[in-house]
Amino acid sequence: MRIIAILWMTCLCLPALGQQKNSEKTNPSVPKAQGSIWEKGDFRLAAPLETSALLMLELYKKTASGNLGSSCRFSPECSRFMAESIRHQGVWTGLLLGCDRLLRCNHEAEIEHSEHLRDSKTGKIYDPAVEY
Amino acid sequence: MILQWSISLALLGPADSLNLKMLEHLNRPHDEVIRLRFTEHFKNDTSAAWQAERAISFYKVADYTQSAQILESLDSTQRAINHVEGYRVASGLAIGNINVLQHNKEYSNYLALFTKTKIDLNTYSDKIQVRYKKYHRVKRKSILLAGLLSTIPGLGKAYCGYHRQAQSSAVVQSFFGIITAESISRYGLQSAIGQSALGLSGLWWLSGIYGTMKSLKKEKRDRKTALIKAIWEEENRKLIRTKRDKSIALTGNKSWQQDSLLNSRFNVILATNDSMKAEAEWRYFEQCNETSLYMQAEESIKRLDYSVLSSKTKRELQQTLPLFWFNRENYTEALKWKNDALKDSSDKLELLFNEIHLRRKEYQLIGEKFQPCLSIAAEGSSDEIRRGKVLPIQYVYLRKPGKVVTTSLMYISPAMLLAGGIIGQLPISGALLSLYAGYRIYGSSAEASDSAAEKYELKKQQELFQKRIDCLKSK
Repeated sequence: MRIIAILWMTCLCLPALGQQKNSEKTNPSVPKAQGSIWEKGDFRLAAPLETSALLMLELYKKTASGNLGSSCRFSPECSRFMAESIRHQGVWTGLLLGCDRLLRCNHEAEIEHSEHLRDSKTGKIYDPAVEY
Repeated sequence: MILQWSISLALLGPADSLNLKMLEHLNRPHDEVIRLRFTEHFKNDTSAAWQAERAISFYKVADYTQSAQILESLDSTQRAINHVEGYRVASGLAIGNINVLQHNKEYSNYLALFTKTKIDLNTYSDKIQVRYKKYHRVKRKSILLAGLLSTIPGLGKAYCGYHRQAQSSAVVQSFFGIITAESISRYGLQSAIGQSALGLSGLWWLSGIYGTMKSLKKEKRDRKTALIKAIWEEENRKLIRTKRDKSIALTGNKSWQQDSLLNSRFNVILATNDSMKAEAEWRYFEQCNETSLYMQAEESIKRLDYSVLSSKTKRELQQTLPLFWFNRENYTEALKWKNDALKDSSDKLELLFNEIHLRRKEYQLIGEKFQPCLSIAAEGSSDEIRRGKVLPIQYVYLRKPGKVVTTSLMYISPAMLLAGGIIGQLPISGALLSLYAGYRIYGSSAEASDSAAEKYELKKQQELFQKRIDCLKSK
């Protein structure tokens, strides 16, 4: 089981890193990871859980996010939303809110948000973490 | 100067404290307070700074003719004008506070009205009634009950009225539930697989509960705010319309954007250094361009000192200038359309607005700003046209078909590997996961073909519109 898990992890990460390099040369339509989630003041010794959660999100944003394309239905994207909610409400509640957002981020749920405001740049549904 | 400052403070009290003296002022009309404050005390003051201050006060009460008269008589080279900001801070803050307080007072009256359970809905329009019904539907729902019902995946969301979200969360959460049940029954609770599966599904379960409660709370707040805002706007619509009509009548120009135009003119006069002045002049030019005052815009652009502009403004200038010249050339033509249409029947007006609507769409498609010379036809004709006929174009989010397929495959390829791994150990979960992956591939490819068709149609439309624009430019 452990071997399968390790194999799966390598399969998940390696192609993602390789394709990022290729996509820069050949396919300009694949968007890069926009900006960084990490902000000044995020590193705090007094809050190791929060810091590590934000670091993991940053790592995801730097490696996998660019390759997966901008498939998120909301603006700001789910990873950024989770980082914001962790900053504003703490690790546990922030994590719960972020997971709930992941549950909502699909085509079926998008229809129910049709009355909501739209981001003028991307046309996606505007749903910031500060409003929760 | 200090004496004048102290007088002004003594008249209205400290700027940042809302004392009783200010509350007394609230019983008078807002216009009257400002007129009392400025026109009586400083009418005969020869200081340019105070005259500028008077012009600002007239501007604030929407008396644009008076304001413009004072403004034009001022000599902007006088050094005293540079200190007007200081006076504005000293005295204008108090007025600003009064404005805010008045606004809050009226707003709180609405809130008080709203907290009473019964509102006579018949006195309001249908739009408000619909909003109220929407709010009332959400208001009845209990946040606590929604949280309790969410313990069964999807039920809480269904109770809140999010039926589609309920379906998706029920599918995801029950899938995690199956994995957990299978792992525990196979390997026991003490094993690493059992514990991690339990933790993961617990996290999703809790997030469903917490998220439902938070979403309902947000929905309640949003709907309430929207309703209060709608009532507020409806009550004040008459007042706003009167103010706008008054400004149209006073200025002679058929533009109701005079307010922002004058504001930008003030900024030009009050600018303290060259770069500020150039930036302000640029904003003034933009305002003139938007209000179809092309002659004034041209004068402004002649006065503009390009060398001190910031690089960002220069870039904006590069984009806007060709549009400005294009507008100026087409201005007379657009005016002619408007006058012709107004002379004739309403059918022709309808045609005109269809034309405007099409043009707006053209520019939207080629990613340029809609030309104001074409929108002047909608200005000053009648309220009905202004409010009803010029429609906002809804932003269409174009999905790239290639990207959708690639994205789905990228998601699914590791998922298939995971499924392969799980099938060896957890057959039921593995089979379910594979089925779900197949469903996703089918769904995304269908979505991609829809987008491709939509994109093709849009491209055809874009080509057609491009031809029309070329034709217009050649005229």
